[in-house]
Amino acid sequence: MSNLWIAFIIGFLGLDTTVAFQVLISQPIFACSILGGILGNFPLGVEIGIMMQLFWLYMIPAGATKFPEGNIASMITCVIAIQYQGLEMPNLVFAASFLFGILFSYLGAQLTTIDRKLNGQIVDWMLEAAQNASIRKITLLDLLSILIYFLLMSILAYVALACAGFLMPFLSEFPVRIDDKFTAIKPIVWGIGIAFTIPMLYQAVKQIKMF
Amino acid sequence: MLEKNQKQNIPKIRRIDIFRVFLRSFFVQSVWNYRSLISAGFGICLIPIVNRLYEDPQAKKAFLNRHLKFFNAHPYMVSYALGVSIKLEEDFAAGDTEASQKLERLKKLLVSILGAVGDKLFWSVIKPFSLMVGVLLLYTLQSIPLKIAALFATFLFYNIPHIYLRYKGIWEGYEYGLDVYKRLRNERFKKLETIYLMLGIPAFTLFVITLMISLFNSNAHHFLVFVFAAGSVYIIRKFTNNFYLTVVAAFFISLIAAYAISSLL
Repeated sequence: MSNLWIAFIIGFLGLDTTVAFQVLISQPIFACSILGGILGNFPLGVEIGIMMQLFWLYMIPAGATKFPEGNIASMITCVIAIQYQGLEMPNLVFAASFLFGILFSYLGAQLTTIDRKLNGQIVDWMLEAAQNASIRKITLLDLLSILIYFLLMSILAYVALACAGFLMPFLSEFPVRIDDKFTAIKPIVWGIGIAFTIPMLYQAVKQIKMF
Repeated sequence: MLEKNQKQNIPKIRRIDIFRVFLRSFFVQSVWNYRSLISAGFGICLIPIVNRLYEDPQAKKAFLNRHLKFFNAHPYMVSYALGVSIKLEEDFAAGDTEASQKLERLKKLLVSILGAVGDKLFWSVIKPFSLMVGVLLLYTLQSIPLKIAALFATFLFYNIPHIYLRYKGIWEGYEYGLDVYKRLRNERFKKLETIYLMLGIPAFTLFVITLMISLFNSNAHHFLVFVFAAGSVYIIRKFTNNFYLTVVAAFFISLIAAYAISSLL
């Protein structure tokens, strides 16, 4: 499947984060599993989904706070890890895809800020349309807003996959045995993810005691 | 056949109108922005109502101006505000001239209530703890069909209360009107919170234990690196709240530590 179609799927799943639905299909355990299934490696998609889910579990997406775009990032990590499994350096490929994901979670957060500012302009147009009671125009502007977010996230995903396409083949310059030195990558990522989630668990236990 | 208020000849809201608002509520955050927050999506949710109640363009214009202004709420609990708005707009269309002012005042009150209740119930409890149950099931179940079943189960575990409250909220807002805030006390949702906490906390604890046992059994080195990585995050977060710095620093420090530990073992 071409990177363009994968980017569109990521953009579509990413809508679920805030813009539409919000039924959890954008969360890593769902989105990465879906992408893994589409790309032919469901087990790897599930594994990466679980690992990446831990990083964003504690974040409360309330109000105007800027958060990493963890869902899009997780999907990018999953796709890159699956696309380059053929390099036969699973640990290095995973490490690279994980770092790609973290980078693009930051870039995604910046894009979300831009999208929200663009929405401010769209609301101005809606208020103008409201003066003419133009409900059709208001509805079209709403669809425009959804389309803009979809395109922004799809472009972000496409750029990520294109960058990976340029950089990941350099890994094959290294001898395959070097990958054996990096077997601790996944335990490291597990450890970091668990560390982010434990405080939330602690707060929840305190809440139960208060009940 | 339209239901009509015989005296005023004003159409009353039908179930289908409320159902259309419910469907639109899944896009309530579509135009979220820093200035008016959720108001645009809120106004768009109510379009079936403006089309139902008003034919006069001036009345439609006034309706849209009332609801496209500043408003904020949790995206699921906003359904209560939608229900109240439907009720008061129906009253306003039927001749209650004070209904629009009551609506304005009530929406200001609901901004903080709906946010507080929704964030506490869904973002702090139902969402993370549903996902924790999903994480445990996906990690422990081995076969692909079981993993797919686990995903469906997690999906339902989260979305049953979500969709129920989205739908019920509109009806309760419509039925209770100005008294809807009485339905939004935290105590009312305590049982639901407790269920998700009582399932999610053991699920996640079991997942962490299973993961640690799996790492320990496969390779003592991996287990030590896992503990080191978790510990490094704990220490780094004493100095900074920056997520990216924490992750990247912990990742590379742990990588170096992994090499050092493997040399020692």
